[in-house]
Amino acid sequence: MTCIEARAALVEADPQELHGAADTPLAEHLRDCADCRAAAERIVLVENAMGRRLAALAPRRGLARARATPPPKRRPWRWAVPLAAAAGVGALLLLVPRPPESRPAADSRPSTLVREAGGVSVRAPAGRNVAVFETADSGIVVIWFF
Amino acid sequence: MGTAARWVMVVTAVAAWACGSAPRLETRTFELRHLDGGMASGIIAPYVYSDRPDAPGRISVVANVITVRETADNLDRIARVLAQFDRSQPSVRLTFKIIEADGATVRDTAIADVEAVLRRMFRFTGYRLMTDAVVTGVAGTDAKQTLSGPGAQYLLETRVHRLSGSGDSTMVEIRVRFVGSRTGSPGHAQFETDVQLPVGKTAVLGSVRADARQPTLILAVRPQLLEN
Repeated sequence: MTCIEARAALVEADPQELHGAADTPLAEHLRDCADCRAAAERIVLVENAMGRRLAALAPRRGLARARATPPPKRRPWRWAVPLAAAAGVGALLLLVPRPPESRPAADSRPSTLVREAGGVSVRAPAGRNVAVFETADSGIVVIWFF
Repeated sequence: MGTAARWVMVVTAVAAWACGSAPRLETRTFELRHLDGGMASGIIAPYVYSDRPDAPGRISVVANVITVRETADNLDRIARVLAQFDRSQPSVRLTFKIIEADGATVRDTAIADVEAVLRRMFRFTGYRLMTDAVVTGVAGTDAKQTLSGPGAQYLLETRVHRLSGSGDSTMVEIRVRFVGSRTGSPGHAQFETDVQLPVGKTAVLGSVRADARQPTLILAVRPQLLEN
């Protein structure tokens, strides 16, 4: 399996595969390729972080149950169903520079991490990440710390 | 050339040398309209040669009046500098709205524009305006407000770092520290951040909850430039 094929397969991979623990071509590739393994680890981090963040956001229904019984194999179309979640994952993939586990107390001073969108720039609180979303209303920008 | 003529030449030369070595100083007083005296003194200090051996320049400041002793040329220069900086600073009004997510079953018209955006982005069951606040100031203004909402208290600390640009393209750079808690519970810092945004634009700031017992709070801020 090439790196390009591995990167394409990562989005559908099971957690076992992402950890390189399964007996599959992808897992085998991840065991040998440090770059792809790093990408896989990042996806695991983001998925874990998203799980915690979505739980904290208290969605209307179904997410807790869905997370309690994860499907053995994810299908690509499932990524498109909750559009907001997909956008969140995308934002996290782009914006997470370090594991959220390293986050210190929330009341510390702003860090040097700066994000910009829609003419607005924002500095993340120390140890935290920030996403800036342009919205359908050009006069409103949403900034979310996580 | 006679002796008298030689004396005239010598005296003229000495006078000319003396005039060149010790420049003639004048004293001028400037009344400041907007600048602080100390700040004005700092701005013009490089134009005042206090270390000139024979005729040191001087500055004295009393309240909003600054008096300078310098050469006429330098005083003219100082006048131009003061005229450039002694102007009214643009001021800005920051309108804050503190919004609680999951706290309402009916739509709150007071936050209609922000709520419409939030409903498209998040899955909270509802949003309600807890309280609002207004901060007005110029660059350097600090404000600290304790606010109350239904069953909750908030601390909002704001600093206007600076305003740049002009008119509709003015950018406002602020620091915001936002703390909220249920009444009787210890406050929890939601976030502290620096934000730069254009006047007229609304920034909606939120954070994931660190404590599930506390509500999700959202802070909307909109700067408006004030005419002076």
